[in-house]
Amino acid sequence: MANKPYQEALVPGAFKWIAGLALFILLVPIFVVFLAGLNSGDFLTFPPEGLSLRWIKAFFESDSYLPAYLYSLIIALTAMVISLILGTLISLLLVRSAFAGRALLRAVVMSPIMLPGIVIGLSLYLFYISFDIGLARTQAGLVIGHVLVTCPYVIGMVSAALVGFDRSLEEAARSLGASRWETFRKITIPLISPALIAGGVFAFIVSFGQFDVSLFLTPPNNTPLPIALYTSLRYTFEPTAAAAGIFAIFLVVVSMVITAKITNLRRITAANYN
Amino acid sequence: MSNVSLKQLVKTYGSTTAVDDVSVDIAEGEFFSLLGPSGCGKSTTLRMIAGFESISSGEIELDGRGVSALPPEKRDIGFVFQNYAIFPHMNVFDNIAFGLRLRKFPAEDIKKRVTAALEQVGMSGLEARLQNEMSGGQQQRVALARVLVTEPRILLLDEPLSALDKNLREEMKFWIKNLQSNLGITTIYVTHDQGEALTMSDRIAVMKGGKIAQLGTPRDIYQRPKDVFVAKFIGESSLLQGKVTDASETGCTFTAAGQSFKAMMRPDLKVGDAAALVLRPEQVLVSDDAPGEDWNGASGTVTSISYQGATLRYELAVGDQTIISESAIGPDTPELANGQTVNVMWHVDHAWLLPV
Ligand SMILES: Nc1ncnc2c1ncn2[C@@H]1O[C@H](COP(=O)(O)OP(=O)(O)OP(=O)(O)O)[C@@H](O)[C@H]1O
Ligand SMILES: [Mg+2]
Repeated sequence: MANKPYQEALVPGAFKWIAGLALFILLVPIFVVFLAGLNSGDFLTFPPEGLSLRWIKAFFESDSYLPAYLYSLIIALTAMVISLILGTLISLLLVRSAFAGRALLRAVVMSPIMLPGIVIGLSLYLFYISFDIGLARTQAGLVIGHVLVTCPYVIGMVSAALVGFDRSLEEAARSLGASRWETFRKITIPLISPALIAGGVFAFIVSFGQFDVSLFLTPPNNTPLPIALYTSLRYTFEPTAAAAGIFAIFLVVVSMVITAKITNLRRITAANYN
Repeated sequence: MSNVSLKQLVKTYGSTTAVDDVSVDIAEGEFFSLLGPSGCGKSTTLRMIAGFESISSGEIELDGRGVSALPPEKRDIGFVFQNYAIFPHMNVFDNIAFGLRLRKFPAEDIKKRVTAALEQVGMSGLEARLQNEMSGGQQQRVALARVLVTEPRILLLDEPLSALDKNLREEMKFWIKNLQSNLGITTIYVTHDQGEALTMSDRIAVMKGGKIAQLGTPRDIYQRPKDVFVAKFIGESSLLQGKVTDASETGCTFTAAGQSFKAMMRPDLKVGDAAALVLRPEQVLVSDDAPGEDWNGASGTVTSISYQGATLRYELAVGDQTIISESAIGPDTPELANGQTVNVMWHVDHAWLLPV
């Protein structure tokens, strides 16, 4: 009998089982929300009584869920853009300059991911009202809260990319005639773009699903989706909430797919020349 | 094409002085090398010329005009990095076109120039390659094409061959030298490899501890090293330790290992000074015959013989000192044996003394 050549397994079998189990446990709730949102019954139950699009329709007609969804989308996009800009600048400062207190600054800007969101929300709220700077329960005040917790993700990603960055690429661009800004735009940004995309997606997702920070900061006339879900589920137990959940999941999946597409596209365009 | 002047250039990092009062004038079209051991300040000097490092004091002039206030992009200098620094997110074409696009050349023109530059470096047809799809030698050529296409005033190269394997290094050495002399571009070349510096350069500055230890043509530096450091750094040599015992207008007498030799005098030595005679292995002959006129001869004993392929290498004991001789193996190469007493000879023109 011919012997099968010995081959080291790339991943030990036990790891595969553990990973599979973890994935299963993570995906089950998503599956449950999905089916609950397509329920044809009157209540948020699982397993669903039957399948229908009635709650999806209700989501689109609802005067609380759809606006909340769109509002969360706007807040998340705003927080993402601000975090990307601020986070990149802070990363540059942290990685590329040497000054006393750099480690302290780093600890301070990264701390919001370690602190409970509710604490951040509450402290900001107290800060807003005690100094009466007109930010309490405003959209700007809410965005500030979100940026506090989303910015560290961008900083983490972008500083890691900058630490490993080969400065001679920038120097090469400079001596070929590029100004500081042109070099930043044409060399630095494209080369750290995977970190920017990853950081941006993180920021977006964290802001979109943010409940803790939003709780005290939400403006009276507009409610982000997680708060809206919480408030309405306290009084009614409608499958519209699950339908909204489907759209939230959908958004995350879309942003992941776009990310993958952009990174691929970059690879394709780099190989193209005129 | 430009000339370059470094005037009392100094660079300090905190308490360390990386470059210490370096002054040199480099002529238009010259191939100039900065040669020295690791950490002697070669790269720092080059990077100050390019504008990547600020200068602590002194001045850098291109064509007589100070450039130390100009940012790198205003200096019109081509810089080739040790790791080539090919932009990984652009293909070869875009890498080379980078400088031309910044200068707002029309697309047609860019295409023409990039194509010509690729041809010049023997990389035609590889426009679409990415950095990770090229060998070190190819990246090297792209890096050169990328700077040459912008027609810089001077070309700076920081150890461009050190990442290549030995064969490719030999090939690229001559290729770069040829390209440089065809273009006639003023070039400053940084290396710690004395072989590279000797074959490629018009002049070499040997650096040590941030200072220029010796400045001269490859011949000067090899045959007339200024001190023991330069003699040991460039090529192989045996140093015969002794004393200047007599001097005349034409030369001097040098006594070592109980024997006297004729040597060339240098102004910084006088009778009675301790000195060392530098002997390059290929300039030392071993023979049974007596030395001729203008030749020095010492009686020595063969202590070791090694076969090197093209040459034979002898270690010879002269008194309590050792001289190395290396000679090409030819039809009449004498067969010597260990322990044999021979005449060790070298021409007076090769009898160069060093202060010790
Ligand atoms: N950014 C810096 N900060 C502090 N010291 C530095 C810095 N750059 C260089 N030095 C010091 O300056 C000296 C000269 O460095 P340089 O890089 O010019 O050496 P080199 O001759 O190019 O050596 P090598 O052959 O290893 O490249 C070294 O002692 C080095 O430690
Ligand atoms: Mg160096």
